This record gives sequence, structure tokens and C-alpha cells, in this order.
Amino acid sequence: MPAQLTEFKVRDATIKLHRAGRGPAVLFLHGAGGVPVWLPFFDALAERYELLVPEHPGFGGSDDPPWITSMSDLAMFYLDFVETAGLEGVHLIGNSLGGWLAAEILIRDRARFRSLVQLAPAGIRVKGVPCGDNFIWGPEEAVRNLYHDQGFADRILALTPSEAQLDIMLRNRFTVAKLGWQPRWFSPDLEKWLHRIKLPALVVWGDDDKIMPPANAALWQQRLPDGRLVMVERCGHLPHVEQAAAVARHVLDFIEGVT
Amino acid sequence: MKLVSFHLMPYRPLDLEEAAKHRSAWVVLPNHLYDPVKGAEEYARHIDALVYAEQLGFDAIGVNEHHQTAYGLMPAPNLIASALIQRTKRVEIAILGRALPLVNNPIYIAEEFAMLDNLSKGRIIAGFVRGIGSEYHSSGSIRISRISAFTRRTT
Repeated sequence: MPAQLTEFKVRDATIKLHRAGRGPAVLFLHGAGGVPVWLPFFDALAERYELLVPEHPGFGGSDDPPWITSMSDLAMFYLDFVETAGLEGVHLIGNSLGGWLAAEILIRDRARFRSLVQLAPAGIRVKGVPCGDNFIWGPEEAVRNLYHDQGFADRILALTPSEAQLDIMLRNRFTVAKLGWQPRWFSPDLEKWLHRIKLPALVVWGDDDKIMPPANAALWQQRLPDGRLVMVERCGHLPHVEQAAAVARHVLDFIEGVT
Repeated sequence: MKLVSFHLMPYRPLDLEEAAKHRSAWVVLPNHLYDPVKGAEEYARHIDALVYAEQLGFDAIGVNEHHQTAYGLMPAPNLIASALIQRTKRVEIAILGRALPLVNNPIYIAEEFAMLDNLSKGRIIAGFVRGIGSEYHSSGSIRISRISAFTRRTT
């Protein structure tokens, strides 16, 4: 199913928005890598839902308004986004940085949301269990540590990015450093507010995630008022990429179950 | 022309074979590779070398700041400057420099420099640096926003 790449304006910021499918709205919030490609996982969701995949401000081809300086600003931006787009009953999905963002959004205002799927989210930590430090890794190491199955990494590393893609990667990295550098990949204030997310929630985690420790999964499940947990075997930090079919099935079953 | 004798104070007893097992001698080098007995001796010798530079006729002696590295034992150059003030008479002492973006309130750094200036009876050269990338890994401060803070504070 071909996705449409559109632009969407929220106050003074115009962002890129990939859209596909029809049905109830599903909003997917990407992680640190942005949206370099349209994924099979997106196709699976777009068969039954209207899938919206925005490129966050400061990522990809979206504007980078100077007033977005933190995850909390980004969360407020997305509350404006769903309101401007007139979305209701949204099923929210976030991966990594996008999962952290999803939680920051929902603790503030969940009125326009129906459910939450967290795919290896950043945002909270188990004390004494450090996350992988992808800021200190070299470029090859950073790709390898995303996956359990090194076949994925091999295929990505075999590609030569274009100048335009390199510019986007640099831009994404700059924004990621702004949002996740310190404290590394979490907000000290988030965990204590997770009880506000009174929505059905599904937490999905790869058992070989080298960036967000699988130990965090149980803490998310504990803190979310209505959370269930699926651990995915032989899987790294991007469950929806590495185990796309299985994860799409879990996510679709979950969303069906709450509608 | 003026001549400066400048020191980074490396930790020379470092076990290079052990150090090579780690990603870098900066930031991630484990503390157990530092022997405080040898380290104290290193400090004494490095300070002696700088003090000797006065006798050799240098116009100034220089110290600088780096963090969590075997490459330099001087995360706080003002402390070493203070020691040098006590051991020298004439030579200027150049701090090259203090990494302003790593601190939260520059007023306290200004106070330190004012103390050094007074202690040395005006022999201090005050320098400020931005710090290199590894400083931002060590300190956990955010390079992007800290550099703009640095620009604001020094202009």
C-alpha cells in the first residue's frame, strides 16, 4: 500500500507526515533514526487503520522550531498536532525515543487517545541498569547494536547513503542529542506520572535489545495502570522491524481488542 | 615574543597494554588503572617541572583543563595554579583555560580567578575554553546548548 507524503502545519512549524490506509487513527512516533524508509510493519497497520507517521520537528524534512528544546516541548507540540488534525480515539504507538514521547504526551492529556503501544521505549530507567550509550558508539557499532540478527545490520551497512541522506542523519543526530543526551535517554520526572496513562497499553520488547535494557520492560508494565507485556525472542531494539510479522500481529490483536 | 612553558600533566605510569583494552584513554578508562601513590608522585614532578621553567627564564607557565583522562591529571587547573603561585615569584601563570560551558554558574569561576589574581599579586592570565567533545561525555552537559551559553558569557 503506497504511503502518501504530505506536509502538516502546526502553528509556526511545518512537518512531514506519511499517511496510509483508512479507518480509526493510529499515530506512530518514530525513534532516534527518524523515518528513513516505509516499513512492512506500517503496511500491515494501514490495511485496517489510518496510519499517520509524522517526522518529528528537527528530524528528516520537518521544521525545527527553536522553541522546542526538550521532550516536554515535543509532547506539547504533539498535543497541538492531534488537536489541529482533529484526531479522536487515537491509538498511539511509539518506538524508543518515540515511546518516551508517547508517554510524555499521555501523562499530560490523554483525552484524544484510546490506547498505547510501546516498542522498547526510552524515558524511564531501572536504577543501576544503564542503557546502551549510542552517543559514544562508532557508526558501524551503532547499527550493529540495533539488531539481534546481524543480517539486518549487514544489509544496512552495505548501503552507501546519499549526500541528502547524510544531511538528514546528521540533523537527526543533532536533535537526538538535544533531547536524549542528559540524563541519558530518560526523564527523572516521567516514572512518577505514568499512573496518569489510564489507557489499555501494550509493551513490546526484544529479548536482545542492546540499547534499552529488557529489564526496563517489567518496570513499564508495573507503572502503567493497564499494561501488558510481550517479550519478543531473538530481537533487538526495533521489534517492529526485526520481527515485523509477529509484532504486527501482536499490535493488531491488541488494538482490535480495545476498539 | 613571550615564551610559555605549558603542561598537560599526563599520567605516565599508565599500563598501556591494559589501557589498550578500552575504547579510549578518555572518559571510559577505569579508575583502577590509576595508582594514587604513583599519581601523587606525578603531580609533584609535574609541578616541579613548571616551577623550574621560571628558573629557566620562561615568561609564563601554562596549565589547562581536561576531564577523566590519562592524558591530563588536571580537571581543576585553578588548583594547580594556586600551588604554582606559592612556589614562584616572578613568572606569569596562564590558565589555558577554564572550560566555562561545563559549569552552571560562572560567578564562582570569576571568584576563583579573582582569588588567584590577588594571591599571585597580578601574575594570572585568565583563559577560557569551550572544551572538546569528550568533556561533554564526562560532564553530562549538553554540548549544543552549553556552547551557546559559553558564547553568551564570554561576549
